[in-house]
Amino acid sequence: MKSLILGTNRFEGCEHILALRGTPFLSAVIRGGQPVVSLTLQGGPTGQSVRVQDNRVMEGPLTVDSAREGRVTVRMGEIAIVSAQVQNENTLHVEVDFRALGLNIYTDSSALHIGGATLSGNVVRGSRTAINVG
Amino acid sequence: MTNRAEILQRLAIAIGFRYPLRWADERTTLGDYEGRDLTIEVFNVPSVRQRGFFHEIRQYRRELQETLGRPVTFIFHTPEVTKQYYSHLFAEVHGAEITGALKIALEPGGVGEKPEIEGQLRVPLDLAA
Repeated sequence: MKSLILGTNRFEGCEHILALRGTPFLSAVIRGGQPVVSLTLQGGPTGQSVRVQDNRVMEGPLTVDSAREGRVTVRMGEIAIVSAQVQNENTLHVEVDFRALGLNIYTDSSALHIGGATLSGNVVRGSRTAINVG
Repeated sequence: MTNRAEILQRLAIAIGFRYPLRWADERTTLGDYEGRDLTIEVFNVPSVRQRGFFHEIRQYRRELQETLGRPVTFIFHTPEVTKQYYSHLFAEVHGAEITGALKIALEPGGVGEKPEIEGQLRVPLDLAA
């Protein structure tokens, strides 16, 4: 089963990692041995809209470090808002920091932080969208 | 702008979400005092960072006072006090196996309600024991 690690949490078989009020926000998969990231935010808390489709910036002041050596990074200025690294053919390790977009969602070495909630060491499976925020 | 949620959101963005914020209410404060209805609590902020907090929000704080007609009161809680007395405000889910989805309210100030699990939650016995 394909799995994704986010802030020490494991998500198995989830199409989208995060949704905002039911709208898919972040997804990441392994394709051809490389990570492929998609991100969509329309009119976020700072009024910022961004869209990345399969590692390509479609909208917003973002850049994507092209996927190579199993890693891709989406940046807003100097800040890496999404970083995805292939661990093995079935596992993708993802780090996020959406605070620059006005969303209090980020990972550190120990957990995934969403608002005041701290999630660590959990396994989430059997859902199209793993975490619905909002 | 006097929407309380928006005020927290702007303050949270101004400080880069480093410290959770919430409007004081009966869950955290007792008794009455002037300005209680305009009191914001700031959690996990070390004593030495409190002046820095005011520096970071100084522009918005001035604007806020002009809009509201009176100042907002800030109550600071150090990380130690936050952990000891206010951990009930901060949801934590560790080591669970969840079949289904997690639903989490994203409060503007970073202090949220407990995550809601839409599905089945299984906690390994060694964590529950």
